[in-house]
Amino acid sequence: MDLQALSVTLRLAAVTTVILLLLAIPLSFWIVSTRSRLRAPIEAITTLPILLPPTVLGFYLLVLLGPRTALGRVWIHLTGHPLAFTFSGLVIGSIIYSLPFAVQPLVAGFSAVDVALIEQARLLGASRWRLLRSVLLPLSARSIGAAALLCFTHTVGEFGVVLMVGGDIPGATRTLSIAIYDQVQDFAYAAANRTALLLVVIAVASLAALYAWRGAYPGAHHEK
Amino acid sequence: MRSDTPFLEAKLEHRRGSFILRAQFVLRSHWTVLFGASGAGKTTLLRIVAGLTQPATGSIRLGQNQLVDTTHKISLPPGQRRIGFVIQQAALFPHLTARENLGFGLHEWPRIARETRIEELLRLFDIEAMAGRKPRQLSGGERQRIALAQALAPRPDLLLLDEPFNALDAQSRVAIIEKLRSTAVPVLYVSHDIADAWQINADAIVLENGRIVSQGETRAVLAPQRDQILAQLGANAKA
Amino acid sequence: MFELRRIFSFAVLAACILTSHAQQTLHIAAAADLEPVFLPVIAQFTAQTGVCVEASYKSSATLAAAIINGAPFDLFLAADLSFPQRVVAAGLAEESAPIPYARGTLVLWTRNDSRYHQLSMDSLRDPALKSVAIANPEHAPYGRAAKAALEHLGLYDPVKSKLVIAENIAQTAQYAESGNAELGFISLTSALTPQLKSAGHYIEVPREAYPPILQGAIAIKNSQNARAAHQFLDFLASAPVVHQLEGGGLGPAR
Repeated sequence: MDLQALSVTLRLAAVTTVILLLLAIPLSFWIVSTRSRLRAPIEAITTLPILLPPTVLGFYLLVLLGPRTALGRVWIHLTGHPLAFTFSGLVIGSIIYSLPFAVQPLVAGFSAVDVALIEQARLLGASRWRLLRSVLLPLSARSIGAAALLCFTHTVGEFGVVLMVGGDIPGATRTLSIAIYDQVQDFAYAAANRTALLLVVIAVASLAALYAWRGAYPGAHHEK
Repeated sequence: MRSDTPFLEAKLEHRRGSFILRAQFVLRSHWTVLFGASGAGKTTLLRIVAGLTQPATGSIRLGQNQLVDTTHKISLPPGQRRIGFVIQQAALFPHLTARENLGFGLHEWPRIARETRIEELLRLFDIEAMAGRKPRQLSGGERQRIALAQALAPRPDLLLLDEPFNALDAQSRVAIIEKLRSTAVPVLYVSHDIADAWQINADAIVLENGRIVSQGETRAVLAPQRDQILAQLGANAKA
Repeated sequence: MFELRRIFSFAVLAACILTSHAQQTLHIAAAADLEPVFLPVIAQFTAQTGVCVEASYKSSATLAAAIINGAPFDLFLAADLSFPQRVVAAGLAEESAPIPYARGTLVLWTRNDSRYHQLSMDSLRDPALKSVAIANPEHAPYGRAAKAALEHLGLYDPVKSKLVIAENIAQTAQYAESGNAELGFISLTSALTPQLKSAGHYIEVPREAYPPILQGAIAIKNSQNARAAHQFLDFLASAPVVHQLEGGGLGPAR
């Protein structure tokens, strides 16, 4: 039972989800509240990772964050080594990979909030920050939950990006999905099945727990 | 009560599709009725005064504040206009209690002043008993009272009401209007109901197809409409 | 001369793709280390025999698993003997044992702008070395060879923590070429490509340090193109092709 790979996978998913929510909430707020002409292109860019094959995304990260680009060199100068083959590198890759899965539910949730409430908040003197904090966030709690859920499980299943950028380092970048892949490549099918089962059980258990926490749907029928 | 100096002067023009709103008016009375059929542009006019909609051209002054002046590119954000606005569907925050809703606009106030003001309004509108409840636990009438209290809490210079009493029966409506008229806040009150609009010591502005066709003291301005209704009632009585 | 050859290869490939009438197409599962050198070889084969060839370059492990699960290849050219042996064991090969068709060479490669101007095996002892890319030693033949070489030279323990593991030999070259790994154990065929030749330099890992990378081939049983598969194998063994492959870094199987 590859507990180390399990730990890497869960840590990666958790760290990515937290950072991604912190980034995606202000970004989504900007998207729903701005009149800027940049909105449409920026929304398109945030959706782009869905269209890019993960291995392609991973490859570009490898090159763009490597020592051959100015950006990569700055990183190496600051940290002493390139971004690839590190847990932080995977976090950055996962953030880009799962970005649309955070932004889309948040944008949908924010724009579902009654416009009248937003206008009333503005009339009563709420700043944009207070509008986000006291009105939008509380009223889109379910969408935030959905965004967190999607990011987490999407990252748990991540493979292509990790394969390209990870370097398969036990304890740092060897995730469960890579472990399964290695086992399959080694023709160790029994081990691969066990690891895959573990992955599925974790994913389903965490999803079920989160769906239970979100409570019944508004139209749910009560048996009496 | 009428003073000779208007506290609001407005001149504005707004286009949406083929509908054009062009209005020039002043407010001097503590109670002004904005009267007109549906689609005449009443809500649009209120929204422009409140700052929720931008006019194509216009200039609006409230007290000492220039709210809008398109020639000088001035447009004060809604939160800085010191205007309260209550709409038909009371816009109460569903996740906050009545008390918290009431206090929403008092965020900047010192705590004691804020709490005193909240208690004052709870008493005035007779909603103390429901202060701790959330909007979904309250009736339509109760929600409207809280919405009014919420809009009045920050002591605005003007209160805009867009037919907020449709859910109330006639008696409750009269009671609430009396209560509002007893506060010091001037009101611009949208109505298409002549009985509602027929107030003493009040002004009226009649809006028709985006144009103001008459403005002045209520009983003078709305007399034609009153006569029309009476004639209808009389005709019905005879039949 | 090289340019002409490339143009020729592309022309033949294009002709194969564009030909609409039903033509025999030989499907080859080819190890990743063959990709840099095989295009002209395939083009010549087609020009000579009229048989079009479609090659899929992946890690030998991936290809073996695909074939065992029914992927419609006619010929399997692996980077070692163990993977074709698996196909034999699964009863899917025509031969009873893989036929060695070439010998791979392991090299240590680094970028020209790296620290290691005078590259040698001792560069691996440098305490300041940050990362060394190798193909996965569990299932990639070149990775296996690299690990064996490191162990033989007593370098495995000092270098172990710096190893960065790639899925196949092509990805290993990618790690090294992008500079993300300072050194990389790659195939000679990769090192001799114009791209890597201009970007870096290499040394051959001493032959005695690792078991020879004997690359084996098998023809898949019950394929539609058995004859063409054997034609290709004969073609690969012919003197001019052997010579050409050697120039590209793939030695003759001895």
